[in-house]
Amino acid sequence: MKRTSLAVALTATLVASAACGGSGGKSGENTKKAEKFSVVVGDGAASTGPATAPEGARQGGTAFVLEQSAIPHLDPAEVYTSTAQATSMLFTRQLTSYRKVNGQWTLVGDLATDPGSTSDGGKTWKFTLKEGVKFDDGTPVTSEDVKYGVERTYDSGKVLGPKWIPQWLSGSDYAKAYEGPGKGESLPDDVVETPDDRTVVFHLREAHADFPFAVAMPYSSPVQKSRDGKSYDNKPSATGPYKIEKHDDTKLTLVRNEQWDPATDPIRTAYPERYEFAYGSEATQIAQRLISDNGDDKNAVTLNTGIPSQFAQQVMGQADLKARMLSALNPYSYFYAINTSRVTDLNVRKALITAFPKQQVRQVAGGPLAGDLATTILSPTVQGQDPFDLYKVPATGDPEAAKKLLNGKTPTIVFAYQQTETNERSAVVITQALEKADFKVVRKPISAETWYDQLNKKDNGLDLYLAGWAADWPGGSGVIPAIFDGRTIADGTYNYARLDDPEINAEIDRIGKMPNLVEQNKQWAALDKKIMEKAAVVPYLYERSNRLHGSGVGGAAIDIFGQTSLATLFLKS
Amino acid sequence: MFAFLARRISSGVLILVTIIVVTFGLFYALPRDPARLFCGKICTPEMLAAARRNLGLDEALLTQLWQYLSGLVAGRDIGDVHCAAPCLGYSYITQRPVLDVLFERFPVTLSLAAGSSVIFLVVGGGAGLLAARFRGTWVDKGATSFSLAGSAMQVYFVGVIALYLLVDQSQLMSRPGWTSPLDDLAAWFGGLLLPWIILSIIFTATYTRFTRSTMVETLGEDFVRTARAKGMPGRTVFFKYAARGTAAPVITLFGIDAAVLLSGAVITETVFNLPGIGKLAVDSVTNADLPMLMGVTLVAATAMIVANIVVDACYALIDPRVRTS
Repeated sequence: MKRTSLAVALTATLVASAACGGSGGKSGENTKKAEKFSVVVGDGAASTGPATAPEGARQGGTAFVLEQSAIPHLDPAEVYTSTAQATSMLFTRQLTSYRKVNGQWTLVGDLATDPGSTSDGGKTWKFTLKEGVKFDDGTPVTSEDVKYGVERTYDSGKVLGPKWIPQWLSGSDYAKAYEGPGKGESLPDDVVETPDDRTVVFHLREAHADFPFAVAMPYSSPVQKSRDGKSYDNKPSATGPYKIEKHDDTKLTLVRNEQWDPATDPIRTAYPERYEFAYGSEATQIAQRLISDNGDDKNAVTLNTGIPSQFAQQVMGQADLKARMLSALNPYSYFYAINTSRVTDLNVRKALITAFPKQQVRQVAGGPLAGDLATTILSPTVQGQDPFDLYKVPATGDPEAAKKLLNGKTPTIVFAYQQTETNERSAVVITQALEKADFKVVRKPISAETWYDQLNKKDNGLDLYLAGWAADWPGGSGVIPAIFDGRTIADGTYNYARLDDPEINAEIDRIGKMPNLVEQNKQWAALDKKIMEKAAVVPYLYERSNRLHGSGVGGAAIDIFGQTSLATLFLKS
Repeated sequence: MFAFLARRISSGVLILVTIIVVTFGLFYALPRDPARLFCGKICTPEMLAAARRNLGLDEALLTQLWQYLSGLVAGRDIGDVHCAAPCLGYSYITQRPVLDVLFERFPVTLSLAAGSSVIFLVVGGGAGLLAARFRGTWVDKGATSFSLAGSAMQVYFVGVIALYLLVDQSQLMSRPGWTSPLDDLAAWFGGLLLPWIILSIIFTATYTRFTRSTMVETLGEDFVRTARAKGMPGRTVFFKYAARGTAAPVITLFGIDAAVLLSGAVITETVFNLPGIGKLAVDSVTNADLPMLMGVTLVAATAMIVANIVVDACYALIDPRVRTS
């Protein structure tokens, strides 16, 4: 989601696996193994509660959640990281959200009766609120509350939340158009309209077919004006099945919200009586406690902590532990970006892709548990992703074929990596493989703290480096424009490959305006292929989330962002 | 005494200002931009500039430094909020006043430091005295070998093992964590017991060795021999004469240790998940949270300066020779 969680993902969740090996085999096998994980847009029927009960579900008990760090905010306008969203879903309901329907991720209406409708190809979006939805003080939720919640996202003080809605409503300098509700003013009706208590209409500046996905985050949730204020961040009003009893840097305690009506909720079942989140433990301690499975820890889960390398062998080798591990691809797709502003020769870039030992690099990062080997930019979690393999090189790299592409040249490559244990070890593997193909490699270690600042400088002086991306929702529009639009290149850029290609830029503009989302996503996948033809990146890994839980926990799953989902969790005894 | 205190306090303030200036300089010397964390997913240069403006990072370094220093003395306005003196600013991450967070965290660190100090002073000092009293016997040998083993231990090793064996596996002890003693005294004690014991094991060793060697040295001094020769009872010589002479160097050592503990036992707080000053320091460095980092640095520096002044003052109380000099 955000940069911070990207760093966490890289350092925390890559695990070392004992199940070494994997097939030494040909490429293509890798993409076949990648599971299909994409999303469809549901209808009104799929948006109706109550949620499907998992087998063996029962009410009651206290569920414990063990986390490394606290989420800094509960205010829906500032909830952004995937862990914060996985937490917030217990007490905040938003316009739309995700649920699995017959094993298929589906975008459904959460507070809204369906995932929204448009009459003009995606510029105007209408949502109707369900009947019988109330705040925890018994007040019915109205369209005015949703509008007020949206107005708050304009506030320059709410810095940490996503800003898609204000940007799409009022342009990227939205703060100039409207400063937020602090000074008593409201957004004009030609921006957000509330014709009656249950209808809210958004008037976007340009067509965005993916708007229903952009509101599937807590910042689209209703806020009661009368309860807003300084303490709101610590105790926001609840629309979900739980409300906040206590929250600080070390813990979060949730108790039942009696005003929540399961008949309105297609996503949450809310079986446990109470949730206790404990913050601040080390990853190894969380894993150790979940493995030991004693006392209260039997009823514990972790949202964000993967399996540290020292425990991987034990978890994979012990059937009872393996049975308590959830595993699924998450939205992160990692690649080694080639700086195309420096490595301008297409054949040299192709040779880098050909010589790259992605399988050995994954072995260092933890083997198959770390994720599936990638051949594309878009992850299989993205709707419409096409699992093509353009270069058909073995996952172990092919130095002889790379040499042929280099045709006698011995180009120098400045290879940068973070000074973390995993990255330092993989740097050795990568250097050796590239040198075998006659590249001259200059290694450039960079401290983990300053990594992004150095990497994101416009002229970073580097040729090859690891980067990754996860979109805020599973569509290509959140990935390709963010990292391959040449017009965004500046200091602090996310265009890691520094690719500025007029043809690609024009395609980004054209596809972004397409009114049909399914068609649009097909086109993003086609653009993925075009970018791969330019050899701008070496695709490396579709990341996998692995999460342990206690033996008393049932109904847990991995959510769409790769965190443990608490939506239908229950306690066995 | 008053002149002494006035002199020490004014030099302490000077040191604090120097530390603020140096910390500011060091932070900005790093090639990191905290505003990056607050720029959206698609971060345009305009949005980055807006984030910088929001955090007050668009001002010149000297202006920022001046605002910080004057805020400490007179308070200042940040955005449209007034921050009363002593204003330490707002956390970049949680947007909470730094002072509030420090007040919240300090009791944790204070509890940890106080509890473990009691244990290591009593056990360590006691063992050292016994070893000196029964020099060469099994008591001495036992205490010496215990201290040798103890000083070789590290919290990140013993702590993790103890957690695993005593809490995760056997559940003999309650899980370390923080509860305010005002909320629940028993939970406060239970949550800190293991951290106290583990932290003391390491310190006890140092104090045993130090007390023993100082005591042995003092027992060999002329005034002790004179007292013995004049027929003073052994117990009086030992406790009233020798032990008092030993107290001064032990207090010096303790003064520095106490200051270190009060600035946050980083590893202990991390291993046992205690939300104290040490853990806060680590988090603020990771998050490039300058105002919080400055706050933590000031707490650590103040603890060190105050501890030094207190130690010097105690010297005078314990050892009449210092008073006259």
